[in-house]
Parts: sequence; structure tokens; C-alpha cells
Amino acid sequence: MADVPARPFRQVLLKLHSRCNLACDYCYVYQHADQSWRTRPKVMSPEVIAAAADRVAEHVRSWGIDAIAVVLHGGEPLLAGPEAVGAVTRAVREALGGAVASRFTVQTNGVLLDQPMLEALRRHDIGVGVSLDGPAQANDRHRRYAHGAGSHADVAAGLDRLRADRFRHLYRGLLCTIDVRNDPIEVYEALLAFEPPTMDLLLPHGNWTDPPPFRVPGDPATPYGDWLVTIFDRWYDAPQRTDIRLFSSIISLLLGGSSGYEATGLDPVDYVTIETDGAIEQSDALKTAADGAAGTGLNVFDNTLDEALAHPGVRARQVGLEGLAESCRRCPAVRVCGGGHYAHRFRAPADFGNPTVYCADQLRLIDHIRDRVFADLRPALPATVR
Amino acid sequence: MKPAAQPEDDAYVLADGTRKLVDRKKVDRPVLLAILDRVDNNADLTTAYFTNFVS
Repeated sequence: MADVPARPFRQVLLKLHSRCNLACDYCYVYQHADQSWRTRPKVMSPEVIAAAADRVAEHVRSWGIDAIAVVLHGGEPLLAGPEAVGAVTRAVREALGGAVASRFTVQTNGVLLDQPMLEALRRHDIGVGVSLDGPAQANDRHRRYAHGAGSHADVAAGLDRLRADRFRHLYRGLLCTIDVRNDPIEVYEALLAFEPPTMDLLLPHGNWTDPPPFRVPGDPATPYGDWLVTIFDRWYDAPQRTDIRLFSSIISLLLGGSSGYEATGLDPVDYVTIETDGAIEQSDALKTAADGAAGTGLNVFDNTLDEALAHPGVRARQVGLEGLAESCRRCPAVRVCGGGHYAHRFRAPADFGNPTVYCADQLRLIDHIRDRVFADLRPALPATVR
Repeated sequence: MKPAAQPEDDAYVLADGTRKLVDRKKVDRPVLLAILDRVDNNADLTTAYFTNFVS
């Protein structure tokens, strides 16, 4: 593992606010093994913001990086308010100076996308990604307020405001967590109705010890693969160009390119999380595996981001094949699958050396996409090599 | 299912040499053309490529 050089972080998640105005029942921050949110400050303080900005700038300078992406995240980051959104953006940009391009986005549940917030996001040039699980009946299965009411109507209203001419350029896309009980085409078309430039379809978090819904570990049935294949065919055959991250990533890998996504391929993972208290952490999704699984023991006051690069958990996700289970290394699809999402490989008490719990689903989807892509490419190749 | 130009030991990832033989004018699929261009132009995408999303 030591032979594989570290790669710098190119994306930083800033946990601007650690609480949420929704109470989604599958949330990886609140509803799974890790409960560290209970002891963290609700909002990132000016001191943490300043220290985080300095650490990001230090990292960028030491590696000679010319661009960095910053995602304002939560909880629900917009609970911090328009002033805080502006303050954190200014702090990072000032620390970076003029020589480094910074790209800011916020990942939000969309409920707080009102006019003052949208004006602040526009003023500070912050792109907006919104979480939505499809039509009302699908979305509101899980994405509800604490008092039980569904959030769809409020999110839809926020999306309508975001899509107005004045703000549309900020719109980055939709994130949808899959529930296989929902009709895939209804979900897809409901998402498309909001005209997202990009969307993604997320497998619900789970692992070998705490399996995802409707996924029996090791079972050959492929409910998620089948669900995704249905949408893939609709998307691939349509003339419109809304990008779907998971599908584009798999096609890119099949064509010999990079994945651009942590849940596919063997590319080194290159993002890091900074919590409201300044803790430097790994992928948030690891919070679904075990209490403290995302932690590194580092913080922005005492440690550099380079120190986080050396953390064994980060290293394990930068070493490609070497970091995978033996059965994955032998699998012919490994360069496309990449072993699946790291959080989905977990088995208690502390074992990530497994295939993803979605192995069968992932292979079903990859095989289907490969067959369709190669069928399209074959007539475009010289007859002698088809 | 793989094209014959592909090495026998890789049924999934198209070799660079195979991809370069693809006649783009004969690919009638906008999304596939777009990703072919992306692969040709961005050989070193990182996992932060889709910077608006983090799962």
C-alpha cells in the first residue's frame, strides 16, 4: 500500500450545520450507527470556518492544485442562514487567493430555498443540488418532517423558485435515494419534470451486518439492479441529455475512462469532510457502518489535510485493487465495479475487506450497460475488429 | 459480447486502441458520444468530477 502515492483532496465537504429541519428515516447522519451529531455544535463557528479555510488553502498550495470544489453540507446547511453561507464562502475564497479556482455548491433538502436564500446563493455563486426521491408518494415515504408530514410540496416549491430565470444557472441537479417499492419510471419522470441538468440514483446505505432494505446479503436476486436497469434503458434511449452520474460513470469506465464517482471504478477517492467542530473526517456514509467509523482523530486546529491523506481509511480508498477483497480482485468486472461503495462493504466489527453488499445488483447493472454500449459500438468499429 | 478487437482477458473495459477505432459518425447515441468525448478529453478525472454531488 505504501508504494501507491497519495493523491491530494480536490473536494472538501464543509458541514456548515449539523442539524436538519427534516427527519428522513434513512438519513445516514442521524438514523444509523454513528451518533456523533449529538455532541457536535449545531453551526460551524467563525473560528472553525477560518481554520478550515486556512487548511484548505494550505493543502491546495502544498500540492499545487489549481482548482478545489467545496460542498456546503449538513444536516441541512441552509439552516445556518444566508449570512453564514456568505461568510464561509468568503473565508475560503480569501484564504485561497486569486490563483486557485474554487467551485462552491450546497447540497440541500430544498425546503429553505426561499427568495432571500436564493439571492445569497446567487451573490456568492453557489450551485445548488437538491435531494428528492421522486413523486410525492415516493418522496414522502421517507423524506418527512419530524411531525410526520411529507416534504414533497415544500421541496417542489423550492425547486420552482430555483428554476426561475434569475437563479436557474445555479441549479446543479437532484439526488434520489432508491426505494425499490416505487415504480422506477414514475420516479425518473417525476425527477425529470424538474429539469435537472444532472441527477443521481443512490443505493440506500447498508452493509453485510446491517443490510439495506429488500437486499438479502448474498442472495442472487437483484431488486436494485433490475430497478436501475429499467431507468437506464429509458435514459439511454431518450434524446434528452440529463446526466445520471451512476450510469455515466459506468459507461466512462467501460470506455476506458475514469469513474468520477466514489462508488464505481478504482480511482482514488479524493474528498474530505470537515465537521462543525473542526473534526477532519472521511466519507459521511461511513457513519452507517459503525459509531466513529468516519473519524480520523484529526481536526483543523491541530492537523493538516495532508495528515488526513495518511490516515489508513483514506489510504485504503486511494490504492485501487490493493484495497479490495480477494474475491473482488479476481472478478472480471472489478475495474468498472471497483468493489462498490466503501460503506456497503462493511461487516462488523471493523471489516471493509468484502465485496459490496450490493454485489449482485451492481453486476446486473454493469453487465446490462456493457451489453448495450458494446452493441452500439460494434457497428462503429472496422469490420475486421468487430 | 465484447468486440473482437478487445483483449481476451478483458470483457469489460474497452482498450484505448479499440476506442480509437470507433467511427463517431456511426454512433447514433448522444449520451454515448458525449461520454466518448469525455473519456478522450479527461484521462484523469477524479472522484470529485461530479462536484455537485456527494453521496
